[in-house]
Amino acid sequence: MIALSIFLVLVLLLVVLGLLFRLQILTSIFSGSFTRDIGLSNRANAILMIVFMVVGGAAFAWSFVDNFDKMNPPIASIHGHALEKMFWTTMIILGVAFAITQVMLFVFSYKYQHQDNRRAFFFSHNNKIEVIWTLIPAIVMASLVFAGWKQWTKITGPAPKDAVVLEVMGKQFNWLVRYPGRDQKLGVVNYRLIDATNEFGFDLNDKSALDDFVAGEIHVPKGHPVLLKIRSRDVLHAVYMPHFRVQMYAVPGMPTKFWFTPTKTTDEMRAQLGNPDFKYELACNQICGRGHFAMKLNIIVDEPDDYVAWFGQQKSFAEQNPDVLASFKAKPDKLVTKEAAAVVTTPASKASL
Amino acid sequence: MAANLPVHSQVQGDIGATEPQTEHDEHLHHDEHHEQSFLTKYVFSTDHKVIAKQFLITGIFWALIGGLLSSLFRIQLGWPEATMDWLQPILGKWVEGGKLNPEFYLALVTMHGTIMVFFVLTAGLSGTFSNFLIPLQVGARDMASGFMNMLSYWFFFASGLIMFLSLFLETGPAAAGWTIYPPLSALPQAIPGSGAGMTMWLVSMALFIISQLLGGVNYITTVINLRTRGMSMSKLPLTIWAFFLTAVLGLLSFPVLFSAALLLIFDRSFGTSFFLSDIYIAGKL
Repeated sequence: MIALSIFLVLVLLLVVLGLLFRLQILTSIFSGSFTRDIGLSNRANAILMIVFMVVGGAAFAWSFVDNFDKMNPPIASIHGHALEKMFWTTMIILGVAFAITQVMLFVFSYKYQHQDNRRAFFFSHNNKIEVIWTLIPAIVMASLVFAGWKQWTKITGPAPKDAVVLEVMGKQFNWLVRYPGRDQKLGVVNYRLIDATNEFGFDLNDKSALDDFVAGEIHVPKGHPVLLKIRSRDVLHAVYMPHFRVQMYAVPGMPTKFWFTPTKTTDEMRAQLGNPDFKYELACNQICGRGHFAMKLNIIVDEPDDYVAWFGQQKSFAEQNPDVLASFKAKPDKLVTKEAAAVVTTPASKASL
Repeated sequence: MAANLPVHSQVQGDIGATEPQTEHDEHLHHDEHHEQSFLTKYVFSTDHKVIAKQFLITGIFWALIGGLLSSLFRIQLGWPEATMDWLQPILGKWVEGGKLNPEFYLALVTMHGTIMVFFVLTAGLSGTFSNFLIPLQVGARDMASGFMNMLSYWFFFASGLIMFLSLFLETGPAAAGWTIYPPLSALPQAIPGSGAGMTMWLVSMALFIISQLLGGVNYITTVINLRTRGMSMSKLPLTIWAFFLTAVLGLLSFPVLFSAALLLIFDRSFGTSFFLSDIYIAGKL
């Protein structure tokens, strides 16, 4: 396969060189120092225009249909549906304009090819046409932009007060996630406290941090808003959850957020896709180095009861690392929170989850 | 080169027809006696058509390099199972176990993007056509400043030379994506290509931006000031409008890019922290 493609590249390279050589002949014709009648090649090219349109159009249509499912994973969040609607509205408008203009391009190239007894009709400008073809796209674009802006303000607006909060932290080359524990408050973390064991940089002198727990995969309850607090430890990463239509950059030194509401549990999605091994995933979507391509984390959408059960079973970081806790107790002013630390706290939420 | 004079005088004769004939002849007379050395005529030429050809040839060279780089990473991407050992004679240590080194892959992507956008599109296409066509299509004798035009090409050449050399570095060329987002591009610990490769990228870009500013000022001035008699702005061909507005946009945006690159240079070499905060990487703060 590779050999074939390389061979094709070489052939095309020769074609390019041949064309460059031909260009030289054409420019000398243009400058008048070499005359040649317009021959068969012009007619052949005009027919090829039509052939290209038909073959190319068919290939494009086939490829689109063939890859449709890959380009459109089933939607699993509420705002995802709104985005989908906007996307297809735009695509249809663009698609119609695209089809009309491309067909005109190729058909007119064929229809008005050179004929010895016919000269092109020249007109310098037509203000009326120009106004029409400026106004219509302007109005269409303005409406699309306005609709998009409305959606955007909804998506990037504040999360509902009862949202489940969790923090996702990107690092080279995996994702770490922590939950706020029973007090529903994420504890203070400080990058100065990070080491091999304390990967988040928990400041265990802060009371809210004592019950935070780290999870190996993200669990979220179906039908309940989820607020992701997103941060990074070293370089730019990006949180990309394709099925939920979520994307947000993870910036070191500047926490970001994104909230969404999942609408399908993992089991429901497995049934829908007929794939018992399916897992929702969080993939890194910004080049971050050597392991960027493999940087992902699994997401499980639970029924709300299962989520509560899972939540209750998790052990906090402090509990699982008593020696780290001890080192904090021994040095009560080890990076006290009074410093301008990377404070990440959320207002206490009253949810039962 | 001798074909230059007749074309110019024909343009001037048709449109700017009120100049007295004698002045015209003296002007031509003067040029015919002006002897130029090989260097000033062909290498450091101030004639817009020669400069355009220089941009064109250099642009074609860079298009070939950029295309080659993209072929390399596309072979890896399109056939992930296949072995790339046969490229070892060319790529040496960058081929590991039959696959491209992942950091080198990112470097290929970065350099391909950089080369295509800056060297091929901006210099090779915009530089070539603007230089060639603006004086001809507005009825000017040459660009507003032939000297700045010449500098514009040679700064581009210098920038290209540095970028080309960076491809052969031990630690690899710049590898943080063509948008070179920091901190990946600021910290050599994050990816090896952010060491010397990134420094050379930034130097090359600085020279390139200077080249584009010189060129852009030239294009704008020529279009505004050197249109021949009777050529109003609304009679300008659309190509000239396109080149003019491209140059305006370039003049507005390249300095911004330059200042961002400067911030990055300061973060990398002078200990500032415009883009760096709260970072723990490679086991250290």
